[in-house]
Amino acid sequence: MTRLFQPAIPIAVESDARGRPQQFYWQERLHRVARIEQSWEIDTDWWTPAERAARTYFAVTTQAGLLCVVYHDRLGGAWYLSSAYD
Amino acid sequence: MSVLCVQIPGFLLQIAYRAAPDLRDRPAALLDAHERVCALNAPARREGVTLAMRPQQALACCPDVTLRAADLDEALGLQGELLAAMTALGLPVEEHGWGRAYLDLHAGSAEASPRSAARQPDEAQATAAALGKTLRATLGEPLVPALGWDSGKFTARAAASYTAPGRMKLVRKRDEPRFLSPLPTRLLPLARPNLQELSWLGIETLGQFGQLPVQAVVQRFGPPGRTAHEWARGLDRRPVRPTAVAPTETLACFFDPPAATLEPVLAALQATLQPQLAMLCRTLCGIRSLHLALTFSGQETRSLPLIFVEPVGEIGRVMRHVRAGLEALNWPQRLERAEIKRLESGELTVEQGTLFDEPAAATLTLAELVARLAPRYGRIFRQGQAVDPSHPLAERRFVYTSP
Amino acid sequence: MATPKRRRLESAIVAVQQRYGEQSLRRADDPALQRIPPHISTGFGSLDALTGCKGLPLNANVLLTGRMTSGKLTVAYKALAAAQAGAGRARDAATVAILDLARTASPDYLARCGLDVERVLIARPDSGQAAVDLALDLVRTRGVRAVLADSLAEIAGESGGARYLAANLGKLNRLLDGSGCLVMWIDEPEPAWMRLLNWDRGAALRQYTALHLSFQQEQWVEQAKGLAGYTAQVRLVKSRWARAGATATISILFNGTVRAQSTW
Repeated sequence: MTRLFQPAIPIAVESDARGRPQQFYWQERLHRVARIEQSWEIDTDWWTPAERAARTYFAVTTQAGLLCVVYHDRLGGAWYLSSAYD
Repeated sequence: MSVLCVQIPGFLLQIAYRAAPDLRDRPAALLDAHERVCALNAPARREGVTLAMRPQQALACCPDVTLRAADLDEALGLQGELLAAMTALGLPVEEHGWGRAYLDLHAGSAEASPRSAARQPDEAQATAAALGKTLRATLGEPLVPALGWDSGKFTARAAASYTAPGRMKLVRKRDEPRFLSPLPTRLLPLARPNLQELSWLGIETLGQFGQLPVQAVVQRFGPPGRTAHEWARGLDRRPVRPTAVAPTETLACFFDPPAATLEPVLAALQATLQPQLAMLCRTLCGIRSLHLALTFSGQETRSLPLIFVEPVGEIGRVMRHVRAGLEALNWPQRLERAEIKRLESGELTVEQGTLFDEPAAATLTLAELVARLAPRYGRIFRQGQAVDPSHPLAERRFVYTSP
Repeated sequence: MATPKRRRLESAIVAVQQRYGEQSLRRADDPALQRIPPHISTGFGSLDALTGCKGLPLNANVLLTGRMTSGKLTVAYKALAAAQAGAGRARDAATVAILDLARTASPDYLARCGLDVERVLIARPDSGQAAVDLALDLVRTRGVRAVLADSLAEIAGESGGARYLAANLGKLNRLLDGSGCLVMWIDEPEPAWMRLLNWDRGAALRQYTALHLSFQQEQWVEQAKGLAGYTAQVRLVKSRWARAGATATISILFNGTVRAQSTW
């Protein structure tokens, strides 16, 4: 992804019953997800508690033409914008 | 012909370094009597300082540049010693610029036979070795010359330019095309706009330039282009000329009524000098020195010698020197007549700075760049380093380090 | 032109060319006569052809605008990679710099765009003013081949940033002249009415740039495995070497333009 947000940007996401993002707010705009291109789960670095990451990633395209990656942090429960294509 | 070119690289700078060795490692530029940059070292050039800049322009480009007045008295003294050592050989010497002169090794000999022509390189080497030792002893270690030898002045100068100080490059006739071909076009003393045009046309080397049709070169660049085209192919038949040339026609300006101010005098002198300069530029030459004879009302006369050392091809620069000379002179009365008694010409020198919009090779490493900028900006610089390119988390595939 | 006159002209042209060679006389609109400045390729043939200078010009400011996912930053990174590789004259890769005000530069992505990250200087200035000063200093050193300022929004975002940039653009252009360096500016477009009145943050920069390209994402490129990339339309807003208004389409493929990865 061209732009990698470090740290990841917390976003408000509305998801469906299966936990898949339907729309999210970012930069004071509502972005409706047109399609989920790919999703994957990660549970890594679990041997170091401070660095453990348990996340569900979604690479999405929005109706406005944005291609980005959002993830749900399964440990904290929040959603984040990880990266975007530019 | 058998021409030896003696060239002391960075002549003015080496003199300055003798007085202040610390200038070597930081951006430094020397100013001439007209407060213009006349020499600069590589760190200053990298920062964007160029020749002929005013001090304010140089400081705007590089706030850290050290500006010093060039010690022209010392330079003239050492230049005189250089020429004296060369003249002592009893052969024609032509001064070309600061720390550079030509020596005609074949002058006075009978017309060269194939046998004598074949012996020329060996004889040149012997003469050059002896001259080199003399110059090293006379001028001292930092002012060691580089020597280039060829049958023509241009190739001899090119050979000296691409030789380290203390060494000699000998270019035999049969090797001349191979030697000249890859050299850059900026060795030709063409005007800067012409060199830029060549660059934009993708012509970067003497070989490429020499392959162009001569009619096309003349059409584009005029008679100077033809001369440059010949030099690029190793055809340079100019003799080594030690003596000044008196103008073949009377070049005088009369002022009726006599002039009390500078402006009409400068305008008249410019109108007189411009055609002479244009004629010299056709053969890539410029004015090396001028001797003006001024006649004031009441038959009072004054003489004004103007010496440039490095031939000047631009009328603007010539007139700047003329203006400075006339301003410094005490006018006893109004000026009635100004005559050019002596006009010495010489081959135009090549600018030592970047001559055209050539993309400069980025020569600084990351560490060098950061070392230069960190004092001003602090620790804001990063370098990415891959640690685990296949890590599932994109942010953990690399780390930022300080360069 | 009357036919006999034209015939006389054409026969004169033929006579001159026969005597002095075909190249002695050319039409003024002959593309071979147009001066192409020193440049670096964007890596996209259609885009290089659009700009009129076979890529992005050196010794100049270039402005790339477009929304997120328009491809502007990927094109900028590909241009940085081309700048690093050089024109074939430098033996070593050249150094390039990124003013990462947005704090989003990813060395992983830079590497996949073909950049040698060991010769990419990433600078994170504290303020827009520092970013402008740093851009001037980087050009002044003549030690970098290209500078990417990402982005104009961060420079103009702070108070006085846009004004400071506008005040220094003239100096930047003078330093760029003959430097062999390219400075690229990234920006997202503001509302059209602001641009019409020149009230947007890029108004001053638009005046001082030699080339302005506007990017817009067109459509997704689908393959059997799913999304493979996207196409973008690039409009030539301003160029010293070509007429404005022309467009070109570029394809950014995730496994092609940019080296593939197993996941995003």
